[in-house]
Amino acid sequence: MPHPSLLRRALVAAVAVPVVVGLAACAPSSKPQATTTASADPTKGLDQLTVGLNGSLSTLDVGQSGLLLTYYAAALTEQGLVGIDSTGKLTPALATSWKQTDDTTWVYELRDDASFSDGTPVTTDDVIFSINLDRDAKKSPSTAYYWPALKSVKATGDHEITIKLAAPSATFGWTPSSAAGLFVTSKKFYESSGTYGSAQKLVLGSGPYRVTEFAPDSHVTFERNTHYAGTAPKYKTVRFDFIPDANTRLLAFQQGSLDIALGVPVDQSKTWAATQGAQVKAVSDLSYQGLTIDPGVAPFDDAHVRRAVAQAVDKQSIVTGILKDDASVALGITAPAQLAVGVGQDAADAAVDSLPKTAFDLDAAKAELAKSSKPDGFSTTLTYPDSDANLGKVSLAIAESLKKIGIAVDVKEVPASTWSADLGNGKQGLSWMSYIPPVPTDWPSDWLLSAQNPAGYTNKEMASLTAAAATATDPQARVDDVMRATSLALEDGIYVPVYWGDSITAFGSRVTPRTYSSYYFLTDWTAALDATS
Amino acid sequence: MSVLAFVGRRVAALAAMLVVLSFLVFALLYLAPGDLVHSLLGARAVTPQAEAAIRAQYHLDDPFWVQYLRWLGAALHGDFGTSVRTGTPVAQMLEGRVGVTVTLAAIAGVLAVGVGVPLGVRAARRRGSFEDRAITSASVVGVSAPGFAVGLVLLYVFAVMLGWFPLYGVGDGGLDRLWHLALPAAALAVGVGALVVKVTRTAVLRELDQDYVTFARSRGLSGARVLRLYLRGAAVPIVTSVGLVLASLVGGSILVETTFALPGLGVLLADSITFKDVPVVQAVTLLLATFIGVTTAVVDLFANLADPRVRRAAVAR
Repeated sequence: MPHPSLLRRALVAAVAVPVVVGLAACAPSSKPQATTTASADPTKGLDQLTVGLNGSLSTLDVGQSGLLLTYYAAALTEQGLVGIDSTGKLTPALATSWKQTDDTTWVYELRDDASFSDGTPVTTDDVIFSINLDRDAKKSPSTAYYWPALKSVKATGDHEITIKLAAPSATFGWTPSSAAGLFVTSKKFYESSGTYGSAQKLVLGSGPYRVTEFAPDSHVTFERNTHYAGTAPKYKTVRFDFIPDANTRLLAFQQGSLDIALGVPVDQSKTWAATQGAQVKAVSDLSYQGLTIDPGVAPFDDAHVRRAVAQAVDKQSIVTGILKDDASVALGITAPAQLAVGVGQDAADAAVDSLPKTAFDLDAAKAELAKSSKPDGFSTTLTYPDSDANLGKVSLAIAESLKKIGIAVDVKEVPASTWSADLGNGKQGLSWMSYIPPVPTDWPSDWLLSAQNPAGYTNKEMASLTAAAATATDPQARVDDVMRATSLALEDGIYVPVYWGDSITAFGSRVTPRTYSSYYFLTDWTAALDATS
Repeated sequence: MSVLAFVGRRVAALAAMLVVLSFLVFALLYLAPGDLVHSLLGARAVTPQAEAAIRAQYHLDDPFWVQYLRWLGAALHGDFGTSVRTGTPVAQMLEGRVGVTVTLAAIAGVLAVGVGVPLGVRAARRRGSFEDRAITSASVVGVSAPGFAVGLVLLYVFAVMLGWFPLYGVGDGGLDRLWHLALPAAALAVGVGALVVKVTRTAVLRELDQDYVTFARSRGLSGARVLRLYLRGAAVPIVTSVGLVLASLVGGSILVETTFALPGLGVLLADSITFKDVPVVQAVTLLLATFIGVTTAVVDLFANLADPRVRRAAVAR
């Protein structure tokens, strides 16, 4: 039975893209490269801000659905103890200050004037209830992932909460933030009848906005929270419209129905930018896209084969040709934008630069394969998740290169759930790792270089470096350990990093973002969005 | 055969079909690749504890039969369970969506039949003329054009260039809802309507070749009376095929719902299948099957009433 979403994507890819890009190119509203940005007034707001999302929400509960878009909705309505700024650094939220008194103890001082959007005060009971809810793997499978084992969570004062961890953690600082694992809600509201996050019950938080209406797969409407303890938001209402089809989103944007549109496809970004007054911004989405080679599957157990594959992947052409430079060549596993949290961009770039590099060289790859157990080549398969159309094109380009050295690759699209369930099953010699972390401290290397890595690769030194990185309390020490572990895996040809992805967002003529970054929509972003006059 | 007995038999058959279908869909989802644990936790490291918690929560380690019978037992009591993907009761998730898809299919159905049948009759009556060729060619294009591509063209022309209709979404209910659903319904109706044109044309042509039409004309009956005669003859094949075609509207709505960003059953079904969200897939497929079952029953009933030959055959049985 053809998979409906596969069928849908195949059909859309085959027919719709050329049709509409062609149509849109001659749209009456588009003018060639009009990049006029009107002057912005940081205090001015709008009655309604409309955002077109490139996907759909079926629940507003982040604990239930860890999709990036669910985080974006929660960033408007719910707060953690801490929040993040545009560089990923921690900022006050429900806690005005916090300190780490020893390797495993964190003390948070809560603000005393915080209220939920229904006017009831945020109590330490609510915070502790929310912590226990969000780390419960049954009730919150998505956020529980970010919570390490705790020894205790207690109120140690009228407005003070102390969290004791079972073991030191390098990333715990970010865990109780609304960019990772904590969305404080009212205990009374959660326990009242109905499903938290559903269209019937909605959510209750203390963020700048409150949800007034949610129609799953259609839209969600937010209104200014009059009980918000921070600076009053500039926009009266914010509306998220779910428009999964990129062509429809483009037409809506050109028509001026959308102030912001997420998920501009790389091959359409020029058309989007041609809309009058539009700003199209690409920024690292922190994703890692690379090949995983399982050394337990013949003939990939041969290091020559693995090296030959690594040398035959032309990353630069993929980034320039297929991804139109809206991505960067991956030199390691965790993206520099993530490594930079805690150590700064320069240190992150230097760390990545220290990694061993494999140049694209088909002759060398051929020579390498000649030394292997399969000098005449072999055939294999490569599956990619249907959630990412770019991966399909990139897979075909890689297959084309590998064909030249005698390796025949059968490229197959599979549903994303099938792809993720097959990761690390020990049967695929060559597979894609597509890691899109919603959270600054969720590093793909934590998993890919651990003892339980999906490549089935055993390297004690690498695993112990990764374990040490997980508990390192010094950010630079964590980066150093991760880089050493990455080097070991790259030298052994276990991972072939291909690219670090970008997300492209279009801003319409009525608004302009300040401090736009990878983390923008996880911050209090409406405060950093100016209405143009 | 009385109408009551007919309805009774059809209801029993429908109930049996639903049980069989529920088993098949359950089995297919059970056998399909992918698993719920990864759907819920995403492509990242899964600790054995988290995996065990989820497997226990959704009884994934129970044998297939136990899982199916647990679902069937609850469903027979009217409890279709809770969506795994959203944690929301299935009945709540269907709320509102049924209205969107049914309204969409209904408008599309009215458009397809309202335009398709008259065009088909006209083409048949003007057989071989330019008008016939134009209608036939247009219907070939309509049948071949995929719904979402037609949707995009309609969007561009009527929403962007002319600005007569909204681009996407379902609006705020009432007339606004109808206004929002007009373009998607038209997109959906094009393919189906074209099929109706072809079926109608063929059925009417066959009747026109019958002797009774020639005799009726030679007896000097008026055009309108002759038309009524042969339309009645052509009604059975037209109604039967229209019934089947209407049932397919719901399936076709998936693509149109995606294009126009409509929160309907099609999108829900597609997403739930991908996620392996069994309770939702079961509820939606059974609902669609019931719709199709009822439509075909109504069509058969109509065919019985419309055609004395069929009526007699049924009685003779």
